[in-house]
Amino acid sequence: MDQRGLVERAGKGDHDALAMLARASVARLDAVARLILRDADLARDAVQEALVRAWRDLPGLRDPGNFDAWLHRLTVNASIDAVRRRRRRVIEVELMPVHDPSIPDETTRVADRDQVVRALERLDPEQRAVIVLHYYLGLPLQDAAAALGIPVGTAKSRLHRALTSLRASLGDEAPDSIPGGKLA
Amino acid sequence: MTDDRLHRAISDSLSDLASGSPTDYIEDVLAVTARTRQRPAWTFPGRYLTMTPALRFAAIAILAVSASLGVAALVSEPAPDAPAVGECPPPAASAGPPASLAPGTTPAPIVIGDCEPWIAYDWFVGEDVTGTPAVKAVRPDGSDAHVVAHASESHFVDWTHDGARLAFTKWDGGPDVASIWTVNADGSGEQRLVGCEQPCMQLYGASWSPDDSKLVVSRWDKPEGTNLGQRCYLETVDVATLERTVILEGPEGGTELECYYTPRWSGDGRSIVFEHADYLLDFVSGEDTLTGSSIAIIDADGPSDQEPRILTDPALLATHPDWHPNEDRIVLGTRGLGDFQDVWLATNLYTIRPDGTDLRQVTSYGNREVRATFPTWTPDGQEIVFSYVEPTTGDLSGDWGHRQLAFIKPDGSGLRVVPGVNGVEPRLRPLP
Repeated sequence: MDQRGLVERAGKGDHDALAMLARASVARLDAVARLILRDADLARDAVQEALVRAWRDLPGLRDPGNFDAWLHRLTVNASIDAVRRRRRRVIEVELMPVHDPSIPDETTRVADRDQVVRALERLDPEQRAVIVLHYYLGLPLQDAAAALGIPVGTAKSRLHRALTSLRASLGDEAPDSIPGGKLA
Repeated sequence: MTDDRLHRAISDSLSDLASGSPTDYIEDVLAVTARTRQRPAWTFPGRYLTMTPALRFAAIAILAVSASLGVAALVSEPAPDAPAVGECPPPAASAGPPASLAPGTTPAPIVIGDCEPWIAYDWFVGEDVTGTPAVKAVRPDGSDAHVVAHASESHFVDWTHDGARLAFTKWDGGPDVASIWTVNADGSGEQRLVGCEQPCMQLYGASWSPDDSKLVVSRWDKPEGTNLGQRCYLETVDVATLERTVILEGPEGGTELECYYTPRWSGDGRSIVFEHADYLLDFVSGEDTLTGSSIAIIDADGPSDQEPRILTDPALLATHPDWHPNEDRIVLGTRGLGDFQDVWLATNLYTIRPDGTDLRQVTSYGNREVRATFPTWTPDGQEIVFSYVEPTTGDLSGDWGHRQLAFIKPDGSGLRVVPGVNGVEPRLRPLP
């Protein structure tokens, strides 16, 4: 059965259909959540929250063809909510770099990557979400904006700010334009 | 670095970071979803969110017409704007401008009759959120919204039990100094009732006792020139003599601080319910972090070293309790509007018994959906009036939301949004 059929069945209460959809999506959702949160446990919680919300609210999804974008949105929102909850309720914990900065550069590409990884840590989660949707999932900005529930112009602004921050972290000048269109 | 090189580095970095995602927990997640009930499509809250104002108004109008036609199946309780027949004198004629206005007071041009239920609430003069904050009043059908008292900033409006007078908090002595003010329902007689002196910075969040002879208020002390030594209290104020009595004294704060907010009386006047909040203070950044808040109860007469009875888990972030006027049930919200900018996180209404049992959820909105907050009981105890905040821009931050006033029954049914009014912290006027 194709995905649309599974979504329709799940929307009518077929939990087996949801299980098939969830198993097919969980690796991607977990990666998105971990990239935004930079914490495996929080990512797991966010994915769980997103899937519980998806199951609960599937009967209200009007277009089964939008299931993937909708699920991305639930996951991104759950991830950013997790960050905000942590900020509000406890002293914010500094996100730890994944790579040890002392690892020596081997090639320019590896050096770039290490720099970017550290720079990504310093982005706001909202900015990181745009980066993840656009560069990791490969969504066009319009689809990334839809997944985030924000206007395209806002997504462009966020991506621009994120890229500017990344460049600044890398010691570069900011570019005048961004891929995908003029600034909103 | 060129654009191509930057974009390639980003893609490479994300792919590296995302590799090897552990996904073996999916079966645990599915076990959770299997225990979770689906929402029928027709009750999905998002449907309400997506209603246009015109549709929402039409829905409310249909309910109103149904009620007027006696359609008991749709509206089984009397509307709150229906006068209690036989219990009130005829509405008084307009008294005109009050004879003794406090300086700067603007008389309300709309007469509030004796037998009319009005909602007092906080918003801005002229609806513009960049304007001057004010105490306002509106009829439950959304008509005749007007300013009752101007305020530099006001909060936590509360009616006397005869509906003649309002108490509210006004930031009147600088950015951190707050006092308790009162004003007559018609906007006359606005006056500062009681304030405090250093190290006391604020008296705020006043609530009238059942016989209107006392107010209970929150107090915050902060010695001048230092962040250390802060302390929070609950006090009662004798309205006739202005004598203040400490009924709960918090521990002296260091980097941790325990504070008490929005105290409300029990119907018999013997107990006080309030929010018991814990903070971590960061003296460098100046940011205070709420680490938990609970609903708690104390005896209204003290002593000041009494131990509060905690009703809710601090992790619930319970806030804004209000005691049912004649039953043993308390309504509360979870997580206030906080910095007044954040409409992200779920904020719902609950009720609980004063012994901490039987916690019942009234609303069940999720993150980024409607926020239900600032609940208070209607004077007849049949409904809860609260702030109903819808996201507006869909943006991830900085969304003030569409802040409205609404009624709901304690079982979660009968939601009615007051049409055409922006506001927060509503309180329905008792009838004499």
